[in-house]
Amino acid sequence: MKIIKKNKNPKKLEVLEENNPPQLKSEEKVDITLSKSIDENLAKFKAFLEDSSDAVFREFKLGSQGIPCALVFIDGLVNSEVINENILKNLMYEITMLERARGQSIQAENAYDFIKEHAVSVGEIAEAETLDKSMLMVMSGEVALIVEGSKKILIVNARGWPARGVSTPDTEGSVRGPKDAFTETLRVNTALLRRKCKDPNMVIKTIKLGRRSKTDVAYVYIKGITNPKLVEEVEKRLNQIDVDEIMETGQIEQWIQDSYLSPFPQVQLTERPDTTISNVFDGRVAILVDNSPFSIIVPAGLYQFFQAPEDYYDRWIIGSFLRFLRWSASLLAAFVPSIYIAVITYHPSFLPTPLALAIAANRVNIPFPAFVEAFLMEITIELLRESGARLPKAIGQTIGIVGGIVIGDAAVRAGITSPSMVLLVAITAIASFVIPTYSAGIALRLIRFPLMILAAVLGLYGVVLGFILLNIHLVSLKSFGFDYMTPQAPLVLQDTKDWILRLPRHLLWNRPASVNPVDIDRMDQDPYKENKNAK
Amino acid sequence: MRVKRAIHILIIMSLLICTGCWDKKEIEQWGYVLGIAVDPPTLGKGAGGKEGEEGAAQAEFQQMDLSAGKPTYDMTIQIPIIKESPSLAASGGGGGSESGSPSKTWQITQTGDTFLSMEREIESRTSLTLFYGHLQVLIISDSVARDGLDKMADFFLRHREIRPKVDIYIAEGSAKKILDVNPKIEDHSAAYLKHLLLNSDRSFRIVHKADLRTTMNCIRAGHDFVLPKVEANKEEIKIKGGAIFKKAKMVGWADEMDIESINFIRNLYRGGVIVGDRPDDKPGLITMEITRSKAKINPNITGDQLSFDISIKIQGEYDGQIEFLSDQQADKTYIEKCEKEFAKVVRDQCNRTIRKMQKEYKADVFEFNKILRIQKPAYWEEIKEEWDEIYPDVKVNLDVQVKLKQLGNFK
Repeated sequence: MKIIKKNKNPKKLEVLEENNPPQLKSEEKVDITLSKSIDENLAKFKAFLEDSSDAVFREFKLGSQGIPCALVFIDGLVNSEVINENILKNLMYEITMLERARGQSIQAENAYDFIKEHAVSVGEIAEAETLDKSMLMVMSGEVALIVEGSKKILIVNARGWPARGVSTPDTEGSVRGPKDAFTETLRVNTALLRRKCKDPNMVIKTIKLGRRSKTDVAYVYIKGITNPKLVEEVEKRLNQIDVDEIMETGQIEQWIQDSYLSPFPQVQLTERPDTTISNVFDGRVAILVDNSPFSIIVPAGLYQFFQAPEDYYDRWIIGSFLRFLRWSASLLAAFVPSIYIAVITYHPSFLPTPLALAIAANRVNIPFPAFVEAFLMEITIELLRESGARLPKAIGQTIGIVGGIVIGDAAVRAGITSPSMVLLVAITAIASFVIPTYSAGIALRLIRFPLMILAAVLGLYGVVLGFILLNIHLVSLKSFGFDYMTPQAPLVLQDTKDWILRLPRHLLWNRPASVNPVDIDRMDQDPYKENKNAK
Repeated sequence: MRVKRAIHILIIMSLLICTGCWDKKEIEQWGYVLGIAVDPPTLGKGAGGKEGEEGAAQAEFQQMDLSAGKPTYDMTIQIPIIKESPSLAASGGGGGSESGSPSKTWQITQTGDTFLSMEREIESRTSLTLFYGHLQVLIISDSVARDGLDKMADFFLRHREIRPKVDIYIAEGSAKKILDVNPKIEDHSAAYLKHLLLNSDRSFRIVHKADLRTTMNCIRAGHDFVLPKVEANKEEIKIKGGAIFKKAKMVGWADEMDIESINFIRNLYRGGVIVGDRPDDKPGLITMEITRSKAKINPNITGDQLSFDISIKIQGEYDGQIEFLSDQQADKTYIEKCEKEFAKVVRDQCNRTIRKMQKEYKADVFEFNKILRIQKPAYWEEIKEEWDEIYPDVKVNLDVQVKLKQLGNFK
């Protein structure tokens, strides 16, 4: 451990320290309380912001008395039209007309209240009595209006920054169902949720996380459905986060998850508002983070990662078929390479005779053992996938062609790998992409490597061993205190209706009992009862 | 503390893994034994099948040093020569340019005293490790079979790789020459032979079922049974009749008509044809395809006398081979005449076979003893010791009824 801590290049560091002597934090230069004098207040703002080129200080005189006022805002975060039309025009031009009409001029003592009540024609305003609060508002894109003679600062909402519009989901496409996805702006995202649920019981609470980034983090739940203890737990875990910066929901996920040693995601990540809201209706809590187009849903069970929105929008037979397909695909993705290796290296009698002979004929000139061959090909596929994900779209096509030729043909011709292995790797790769949740698919792709090693060492016995270990791990996982492997372990019978099969809508009368919601009934248990009586 | 525990767990886990790999062998490194032929031992040089110097050299390889006893069997194994699959070789451009169709298998013959020692002796002649899990067929020379199947079967039953679904065939003369066949469609004669037996649902001249498990069960129970007889030329294999076994020892051959009759009586029918003379007095043949056949055997005991009533009910489709028959000609009486003719043909044929089995071979291939044991257990207990003496003289009453359901597909 000492070796790691030892500074390898002490000289360089010394130079750095000489050039940049430790700076005082901006807060330490100034008194944090506000005063009545506009000059003092402005000086306090400037102490923080004078080095930043995007900070704007606009000083002007108000009314016939010439009361000094100032606007402080960050250029780029505000809508200049609002500032020009609804603030500056009113304060500098219209207010003199008002004075004339009333026949009295505004005095410094009541200027602040007058402005607040009569002059600023903006819907959302706030008052700040301390410097840090007003500073936070300014940094969030609001306009601070400082008036001589007032200890308060008027905060006017004029937010307007360049933002991406609502577009279609990138990673969770669907054939049926809404095509909107979250964007980077938290307010837009909450609006997307509100549009889908008009119940006033749906609570969107916002807290600020990150010592310096002060990121808005919102959590959404429905009073009267969601278990209050779950909400409490979410609040507790969110408030425990104490770091400099929060950039993405993924960071939140890593702070609030239960086990950091597992490759399996313990929260559900989605960019679809409809998935988010239907999970909230199920009694879960959704967490949204400003600057992130993803939401986190807690608690999560493994079965959730096999659900796609279409399962619910399509007919139940089709939905069930797709579910079943995904579960089998996950088994394929995780176990096929290892079973292949085990059979090829240890159990040749496992195969029908023609197949055994065919595979043997394929492998005659391959210089590597099956394990090395499989490992090489799997790594190649992962390389292709990773490079495809990072490359610009135009070059991505090239990679597709190169990958297709390299894997499909050249590797076989060069005698590096057998055609049956290519087929197998392709099936595995396709199967792993069938799983709708990206992070769960990655986890499955990852666990096949240790399984392949076990198969190469111990044969089918090793695969079975790996399967058992995997199950032990999954069963012991928890997500926010709820069992990860519900509804099968522990068995929750009423939740199995929406598990490997998606039964008809009228049978899904209950919310998932494994989440323990306050109100478990989605509807009457027999929605056809009324119709029957009517007949 | 945690690091220490993790190290402990790692050590324990590595124990699991350290035991691994001991029987690791890639799929292409095995020699898959597809067929085994068993012949009487070839003694002396020049008997390896080929003449001249080459044959002599081969024969010398065939012999092994024996610690005790003298050679008892020739064991020939067939392993496929696994080459890069033709499509790959073609696309690779470096494919072999052999002319004609070279043999895709390698037959290795070994003379020795016990099968296990022969099996291990062959390992000294191949670069591949022999693997018996994919064994398809076992071909036995009739002279070995006449000596008794039970003597040699022990090895095949105890072998941990050989499966009980292996088919057994009897060859007249050399069994090795069956494996030497270079088939036109299949890659290996073993696969050819294995698939031949599947055609028993098209022609009931093929013995119905002949795998190792059934045969051994018959031997253990002391039953008599039939195994298919195979003949071969250079490129073709034919299943021609069967070999009759009495108590594990082969006693003689059954021709194809006998196999038909046995399949009728033992209710193993899966498809076939009956040919008879034209019922009206003109010359010509009529034929029918059987769609259903049901045999019922009832043992009758009247006083001391044991007899069997066999009734065979056959349904089928008429298929003439005479001049075109108009609707008037092919009327009900004509059909009834045909039915009688077919019944007569079957009855005569079955009677001939029953007589042959009873008098000539004294082999109870119809499993009358089994029927007796099931239907008259008390009586069976009394006579089961003398069954071998009783069987040849048991009276068998045969009743055959043929029903023509269709007159064929008329275009």
